[in-house]
Amino acid sequence: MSMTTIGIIGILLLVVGLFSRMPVGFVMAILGLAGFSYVVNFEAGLNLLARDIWDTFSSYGLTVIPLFVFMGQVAYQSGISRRLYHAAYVMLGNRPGGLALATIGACAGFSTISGSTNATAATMATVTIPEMQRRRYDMGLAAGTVAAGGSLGILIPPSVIFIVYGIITEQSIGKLFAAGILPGILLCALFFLTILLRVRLNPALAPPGPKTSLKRKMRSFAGIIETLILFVLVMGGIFLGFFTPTEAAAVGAFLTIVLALLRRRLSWQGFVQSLRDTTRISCMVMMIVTGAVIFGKFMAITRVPFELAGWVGSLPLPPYAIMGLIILIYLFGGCFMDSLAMVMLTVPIFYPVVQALGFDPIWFGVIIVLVTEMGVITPPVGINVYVVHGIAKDVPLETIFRGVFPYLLALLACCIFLLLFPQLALFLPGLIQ
Amino acid sequence: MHHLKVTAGFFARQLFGLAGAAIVAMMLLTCADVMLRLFGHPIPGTYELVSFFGAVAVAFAMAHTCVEKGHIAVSVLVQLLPRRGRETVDALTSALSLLLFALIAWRSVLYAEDLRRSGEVSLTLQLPFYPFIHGIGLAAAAVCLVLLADLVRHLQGAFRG
Repeated sequence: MSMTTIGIIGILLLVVGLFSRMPVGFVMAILGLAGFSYVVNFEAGLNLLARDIWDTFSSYGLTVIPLFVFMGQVAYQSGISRRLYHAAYVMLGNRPGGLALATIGACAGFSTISGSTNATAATMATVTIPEMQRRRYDMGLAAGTVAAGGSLGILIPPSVIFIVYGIITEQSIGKLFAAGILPGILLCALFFLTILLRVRLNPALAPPGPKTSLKRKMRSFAGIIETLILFVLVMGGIFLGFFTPTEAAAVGAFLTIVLALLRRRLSWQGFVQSLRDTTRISCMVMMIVTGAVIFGKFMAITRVPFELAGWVGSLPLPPYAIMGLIILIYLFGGCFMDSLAMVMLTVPIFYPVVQALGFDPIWFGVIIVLVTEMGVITPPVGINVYVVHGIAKDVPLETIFRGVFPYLLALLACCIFLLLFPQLALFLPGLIQ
Repeated sequence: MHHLKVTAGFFARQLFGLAGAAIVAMMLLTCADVMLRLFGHPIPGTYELVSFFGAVAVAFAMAHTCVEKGHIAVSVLVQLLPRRGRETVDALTSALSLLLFALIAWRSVLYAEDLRRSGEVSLTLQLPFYPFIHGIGLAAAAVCLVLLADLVRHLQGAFRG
């Protein structure tokens, strides 16, 4: 059997395995081990297994993940998400679709302290869905908005996907974080526009709430101050080169705890719960990263990624058409695969192609995050939709998938804007030394 | 059967507690290092220690994350099967996972012993690597217990009919 055939069989088995309800990380590790052992020998495969696990678990670069997750979880336990939503709600709630707008606003706010899409979706769903339900919002719109809004978690820094991308491609994580800010604001605006259009077409989807006084609006603004302080200190510290992302995450988590204690918002139970969730989420993320590392080693010896990259790169098409093709591949793949696993497995393939075509690596990082955001809301494996469904159990999955569809168009529009105006992503990183 | 599940859960919880402590330690150590650096006295070896704590945090959390079904898995297809089919698929995948973690436990111990014999230590603090890799072996063994309990449960489910 040729190497290419073995590689392709490996990929097919991966697709089958992913649907077997076995944890995604385990599937990749088993197939990686089996494939590598088949090509080289069992002893080499077993050595690779132990070595890769230790190397990945003890990677300093990846320690930033648990620390940022911790920051987000403490923020959630101390009620920051609730205060953010309240502030956005008071400011926007009185117009048609106002609660949905406020949901997007609050998701964006929470994204500045959370680096994961599903954590952001889960956190904001618990806060926003009951409120929208009370106001007789269409549940497809309500649940779809949180599922899509949660995806902002990885575009607005911090972001697990930027961290993983930065480690794979050896790009500055600080620059990648900076690159996400303007596209994040643009995507928020596009999400806003999506809501306004939908409500204009069908006002019954989202009835307006009561008016609030200017004084109340001003007072609610206080709810976002702590988030603003944290964001400025943590991201500012990274952008100015004062500390590494891991240091920034540690300081950010610590400051979040201190702020919560000062305001008497964090109980011992809340602290323990945030630590439990952090440990579980970090382990889940790291298992996927580790599995993908092992599977990636198997792929590398079959040379399938290189051949695929060579083939894509040699297509007689202009660079922008190839980029469009790559985006389509991600869009399609994102429907069936866990997003993080897909980034881990495919970035090593496409990154050299993208570089050879003359695209900026930081810019491509933002594109990867955008396609990942699509992946977490597309059926059948859109994790954010399942997360929201897990919280709003009475809303059927199909309804949420339908409700999320218009946001998918907004994400595509954001991709097109980035293709037309790369400066959107590159302007801020350009300011960093 | 019940004893197995209880024992596995107990070990998983103990390790999980240590994993959480490792994350707090990572945070405190890094913060202390940043603060002391302001005064020109960074803590030597922070980098290494944080990496080691990170490894402990992930490894020791594996078993409990399994107990809580916290790993990402895709169940859309399997859910469509009748109960017996579901149990059979789950038994099969638990068995494969059990095999994987048994291999991880075994090879981590061998790898640790290899590094102990060759006397490999970290750059700054000269800390030996092997105790941490033994830790991964231990953590993987705990995952095996959890998966074994799962396997027995799914097999009973598949054969009970």
